[in-house]
Formats: sequence, C-alpha cells, structure tokens
Amino acid sequence: MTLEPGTPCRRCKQNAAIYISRKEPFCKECFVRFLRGKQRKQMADYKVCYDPATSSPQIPPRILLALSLSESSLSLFEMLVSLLHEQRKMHRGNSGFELFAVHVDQSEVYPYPTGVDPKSVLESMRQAYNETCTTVCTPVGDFFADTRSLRHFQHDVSDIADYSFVKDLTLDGTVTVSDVLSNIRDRTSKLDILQTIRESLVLEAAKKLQCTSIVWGDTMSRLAEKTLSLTAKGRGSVIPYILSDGFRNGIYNLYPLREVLRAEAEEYVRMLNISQYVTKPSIKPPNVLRMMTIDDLLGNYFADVEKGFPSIVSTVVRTAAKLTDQVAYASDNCAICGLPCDDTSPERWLQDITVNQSAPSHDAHDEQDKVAPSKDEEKSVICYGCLVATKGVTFPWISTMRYSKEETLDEYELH
Amino acid sequence: MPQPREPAQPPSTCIVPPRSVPLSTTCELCHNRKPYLRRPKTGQKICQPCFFHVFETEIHNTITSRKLFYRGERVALGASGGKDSTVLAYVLKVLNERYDYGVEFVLLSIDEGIKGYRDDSLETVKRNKQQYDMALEIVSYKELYDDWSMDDIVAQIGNRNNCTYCGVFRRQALDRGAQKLGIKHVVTGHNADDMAETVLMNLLRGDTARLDRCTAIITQSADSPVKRSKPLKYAYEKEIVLYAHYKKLDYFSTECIYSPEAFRGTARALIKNLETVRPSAIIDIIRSGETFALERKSGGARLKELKLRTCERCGYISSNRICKACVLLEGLNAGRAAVQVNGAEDEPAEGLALHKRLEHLSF
Amino acid sequence: MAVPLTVEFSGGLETLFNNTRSIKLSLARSDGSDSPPTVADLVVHLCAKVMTDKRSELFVIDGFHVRPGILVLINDADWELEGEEDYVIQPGDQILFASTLHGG
Repeated sequence: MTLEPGTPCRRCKQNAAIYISRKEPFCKECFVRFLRGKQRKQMADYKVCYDPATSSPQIPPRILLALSLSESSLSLFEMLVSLLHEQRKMHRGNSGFELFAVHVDQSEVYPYPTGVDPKSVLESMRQAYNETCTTVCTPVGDFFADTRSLRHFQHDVSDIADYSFVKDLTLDGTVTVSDVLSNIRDRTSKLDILQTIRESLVLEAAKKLQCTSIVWGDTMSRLAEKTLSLTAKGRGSVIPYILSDGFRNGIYNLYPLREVLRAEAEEYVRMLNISQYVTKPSIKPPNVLRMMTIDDLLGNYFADVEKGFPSIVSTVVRTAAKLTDQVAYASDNCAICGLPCDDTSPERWLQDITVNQSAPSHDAHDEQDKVAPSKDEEKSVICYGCLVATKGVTFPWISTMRYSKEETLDEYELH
Repeated sequence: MPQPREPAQPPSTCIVPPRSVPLSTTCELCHNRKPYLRRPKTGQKICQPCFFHVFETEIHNTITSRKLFYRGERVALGASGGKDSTVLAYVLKVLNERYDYGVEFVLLSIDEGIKGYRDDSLETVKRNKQQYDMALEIVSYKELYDDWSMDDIVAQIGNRNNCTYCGVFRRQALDRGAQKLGIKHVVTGHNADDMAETVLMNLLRGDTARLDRCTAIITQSADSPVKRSKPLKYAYEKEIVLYAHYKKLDYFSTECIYSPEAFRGTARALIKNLETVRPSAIIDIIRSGETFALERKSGGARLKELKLRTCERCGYISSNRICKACVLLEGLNAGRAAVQVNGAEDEPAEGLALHKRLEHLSF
Repeated sequence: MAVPLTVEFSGGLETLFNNTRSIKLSLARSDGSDSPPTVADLVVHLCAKVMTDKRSELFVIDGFHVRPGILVLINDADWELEGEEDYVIQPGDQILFASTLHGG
C-alpha cells in the first residue's frame, strides 16, 4: 500500500499523512501518539501514586530498561523518557517510576564500527533528555569478574560422551567471554551463550540498582521470532516463562512493545530523529544459509512473512501467550542458562530415542557399552536447550579432563 | 582442548590435542568400517551396518517403550508406495520377525483416483505386498464417495481447495478401510521432519486445538473409531531416504500432481533450512512440541458432552449431525464449487493466500 | 582436465532433468583452469546445461548451493563426509542427487 500525496491522516483528519501502518495513514503526531499509547497501555501501573493518608507522592519504583541500542529498545527509551517528562510536568516534579537504562557493551566479542563508543552514546542521550534517567554501560567481560559466574560452565552432567564438562576447575582470573565463545564452534550456540551472559548481567544490574522491574524492548515481531527460535532450539518449555510479562528471579519483567511491529519502531526512530543513537555491532548478518544462526534464519523468515502476511506475527505471539507455563514452579534451575527446568535429566530423553551402539558383531564385546556407571553424587541440572547448545564444547581453563574411552582410543590410534 | 597433566602421558604427543588431527576415517560406532553418512541427530559419522542397526533399533525402542502393539494385534499400515510408508513396511516386517512381536500387518492403500500419480504408486504397493508378504487392501474414493474420484473433484472445483477435500476424504477412507478389515489400529509413515513441520505450522497458524497434541505418537480423535500411531516419529527424513537407498527398497516418488509446488516460504522449507543450520533442530523442535501444554477451559467436560453419534447420511462416527465428508459431498453433488470447511468462503484474500502458503501437509 | 563421471537423479528430482535418471558426462573446471573439477563445478554445469525445468530454485538456492532437502551421495557416501561442494571429482565417480522433499 503506497501513500498518495495529500492523503489526510485518518486520526486527526487535518495533517497530511506521512506514513502508513496497518493500512492506516498517519501524520507524525498521531503516529507517535499511537505507538506511545501502545506502550502506555502495557505500563498503566507506572503512574504517579499518592499516599491516601498524607496525600504526598509515594516513592516511585525503579525500572531498568535493557537498552541494546537497536531501534526497538531506543524507541522504548524515548517513550519512557517522554512519559517521565509528562508525569513531572503534570505532577509538580513527581513521576511514576525512576528510569535506569543499562547497556551491555559486547564490543569484546562483537566490535562496534570504528569510532563508536557506546558509553559516549549513552552520555549524549542522557544529556539530550535533560538527565531524566541514569545510564549505565556494563562491559560484557564483567560477567567473569565474578568467578561465581564460571559455575555456569562447570558441570558434570551427562552420560553422553562429549557433554561432560569436568568439575575440577582452576581459576586464574584470566577467563574472558571471548575465551568461552571461541570454544563454541556453532554460531547459534555462541549467540545463545552470549545472550545468557547478557541477560544475567542485566539481572545483576537490576539487583545492584534495586530495580523492581525490567523492561525489554522486544517488539511483537521479535517476540514471534523468539517463539519460533526457542522452539527450534529445543527450549519450547520456557516460552511462556520468558516471553510473557511476569516475575522472574523476584523481578517483574515486561515487554511494553509487545503490540508494536518492528517496522513501526524503526519508523518511530526515524520520525523523531534519534537514529544517531542506534548503535549496532559492525558485523553484518550473513546472507548464505549455512553461515546463518537459527535466529538469523527466523529473522529473515519473519521479515518475509511480515510483508505479505502481517497477521502471522500477531498470531504467533498470541498462540505463545496461550501456552501453559509449566516451569515456573520447577524446583531446579539449569546450571547454564539459569532458567527453571522441570525435567531434571533431559539427556535421558535423547538417550531414549538414540541408539549409540555399533551393529552386533560376532565378537563378544558388544554389550560393554551398555553399562553406564550410575552416579549417586548430585549432578547439576542442564536444560535440554543448553545440552544441545554446549554439545561437544570443551573449555580451555579446565585443567584436568577425564577422557572418555573413545577419546583415549583415538589418541592411541593417532600417535 | 585441555592438556592432560598426568605424568604418565608422553609429553611430546599430548601437546597436540587429539581433535586437531584430521578426523578419523572409521565409523564412530564400530571404529572399524568406512563411514557412509553423518547422522543428523547426533553428528556421528557411521558405516552402513551400524546405520541399519541404530535406525532399526531406535524404531524398535519407540515401539516397545510406547507399547504401540500387542501380541496378536492386527494392524493396518497406511501404504502410499512412497519412501516413508515403504520404509515403515520393510522395517516393521524386519522387527516383527527379529523381536517376535506377533503382530499381523496389513497394507492399506487409498486410491484417490489421480491418473498418472496414484496408478503408478499403487503398482509399487502391489509389488510391496509380494516383497513383504503382507495382505493388501485398496479402498477407492470412487467406491466410498458417490463415484467421485479426485480427478472428478478437481474437474468440478478447480485447483484451489482440492487438498481440503483430499485430506477429509483420505482420513475417513483409511478408517473405513481399516474397519472393513476389522482392524482398529492404523500406523502411518509420518517422520520426524513431518512432526517438526506440524509443530511450526500449528504455531504459525495459531492452531491451539492441535498444538500440544500434534507430537503425540498415538492419536485417537473423538470422531474416529480407529487409533493412529507413528512409529517413525523420531526418524529423520534424511535417514529414511538413505535407508531406502542403501537397502534398495522399491518405492515411488513423485509429488501429487495437484499439490502446489510453491515451496519457497513454506514451513517445510523452513524445517529444511533449520536442519542445514543445525541438524539436530528437527528433533529439538519435536522436544519443544512435546513440552507444549495448553489449558483447556472445561475441556474434559466438553469432550464428555460431545458424545459420539453417527452421521445421518452415511452412518459413520461423527461429532456433528452430518460428517465432514458428507458435507463436502453434498456440495459436490449440488454442483457447487464453494468450500464450506472452516468458513474458507469468507476469508479475505490474505487469509486465503496465507492458507495456501501454510498448507503443505494436512494431517 | 576433463573428468568422466556418472550423475544420477532420484526422489522426484529427475522431473527437473527431463525425467532422466542417469547421465554420463565429462566435466572440466568452470573457471577454465587445469585442476580437476569439484562438486560445485558440477552443480553449476547441471544448472546451466542439463536442467530442463526452468525453476532452478527447486534445485539450488543462494546462487549455486544445492537446496536443503536434496541429498547428495558421492559413490554412495553422504557428501557431508566428503567435503560437500569442495569435493574434488575423481574419474569414474558416481554422484547421486536425491530429493527427500517429495511425497511419502
């Protein structure tokens, strides 16, 4: 649908329309109000509250915005800041929330274009918006500043060869995120682990800053992509837990842009002239299939689908919302991604459908693989998705390694 | 790679991590023979004998762990002459003998009446009957549905919604064929790729009625007296094709001439692309599908209310006064090209195009 | 250096190649150099010279990469074990393209 010159905005019927969204022509003012309205509807609870007894304003809750500096999170930033301005104007300087925008700087692994420094981008945003919010820039490497984080990658989990990471760990304080990622060959798994690290840094920041809510900039389009990509990565069981609004780790998580399409967020950024803040790694997503990650692939699929059949995007998000959350009350958490896990041995499921024995021969040794040593000691729980993502991964800082029988054999054969 | 510290290891060799050496050229299971394929599920490179062993044993494990059959049971095998049902028939014959299931398998084929497609594949099924020493029953649309063959139907309604007709008719035809044989259990050749595709399709079209059940290995719907099961549920299409190829099985492969070849952008293409990016994705999607759960508002109560009755026209079990097949037949007989299933008539252009695009397989 | 080989199509793929199931051909490198051709060269050649159906997207994507869902067997072995498109064709090789996408 193209915009005929001179078409009036269907909302105000006065200004000329400059953009068509969902088949409706919008002028700038009405489009901005339309998108802000979608965000405000999701965040209706964050209004200025007064103590009924004293009529004095209550202390506003602290909100953390996970600011990746993509168009989506940037437009959410703008919406939140504009809401704060408005609240302060109407309520004599009082607001319904306090805003902390946290950006995880992952330039250690995915560098920004030369000359781009996320810290100064954040600082200029803060100044441009009259210091309405606090901005924080956390380098991704901070993840291993706390050696406890290493436990994410320390477990002895599975009877399936190659999955087993060993317990004895030497920490010399030099493990970096690039080290971890360089040991993962599969690009999908790499990004999976990076995302886990990013999210746990955001969570840590929220705790440190005493935020009670985290808002994420994911649009409806992104949520649809995530629904399919989590499904494709064997992480279907956590879809309702992570993609719906609700408490996780004692903090309320919400997606205020869940009714906004990605193209709309991009247009919002253009209209309000804030594109200069968009900061993305310089690396371009590959356009050859076998170089892609699962997320790249589904991103392309939905970009294609959204053009022809925008209703699919909302259908997928609505369907995901109907799934029952079965992990919320699980007693275990995955040692890697930290998400609740109701199946304590997902590797059993794989083993049940996978035969790992050679064809029977006339030699008598074909039974020997069958006896798996049963371990009584407590094992960490790894969810199915992380089991797949870390398959075959080993880590260099692990000093001693129990060789599986096969590896030992290989070594003797080769040397 | 970690570097072992045990002094017993010769120091000069263990500096070189074993994995950086060119990969071994023997099967990763028997460490003996030349590998012939890489298993998508595990990434293992294995030889033909080990492949046959794991492929067959996994199907056997599926059958026994889910208790699909009981001794003395007669089971109909939906046979199209294509790769999946041919491999299924062959493997079931092998396993039935090897593990003494004591099950009697009967080939059940549907003749939709599509010239140049079904005649050839039926010839294949007839050869399978000889090769696998199983009885064969062929049921035709023509005999079941007022003398309508699929060719006649397409001549009447055109190429647009023919898959809807064929889907409804085939389902009933399999049931009726089974009943004719006095059989209450039909196994079909649906493979892991089909299962994964169905999970994604149901997400994409928001089919919550099917989403959490579509991965079940045994299905029995309210309006069918016959249960269905899918012993190849965890078998990759790639392995099925390789198995048929290495075993030189006699199967027929052409796309149904009425099926849209618009492949790009379908759920099937998506599945194959995902498999290229990460071969385990297919099994991972099934895993996800098995964990999906939906709350059904008073679902149990509704099911009880929905007591089984029989179609007023044909006497077939139906949840409605008139069964779906008879509704479609009525339309055909009245010479109307309109489609009344799912209100498709009123769908806006986008809905239709979407339906077309998503529709590749209908279970 | 032209190398003689046999190419086979199955699983419904033969319909794109004039219903031919097997062809013999002699293949040189597509860049004109003297080194022996690879499977990548073969795919380009098949698209340009042998395929009769105009819908090349049913056989290749992203330029000349074999479409996912089509198995390639080199002397009966999964091409994933042989280096896929980089495999250097040897005289007398038998290369099979089998579609897995057609009706089951």
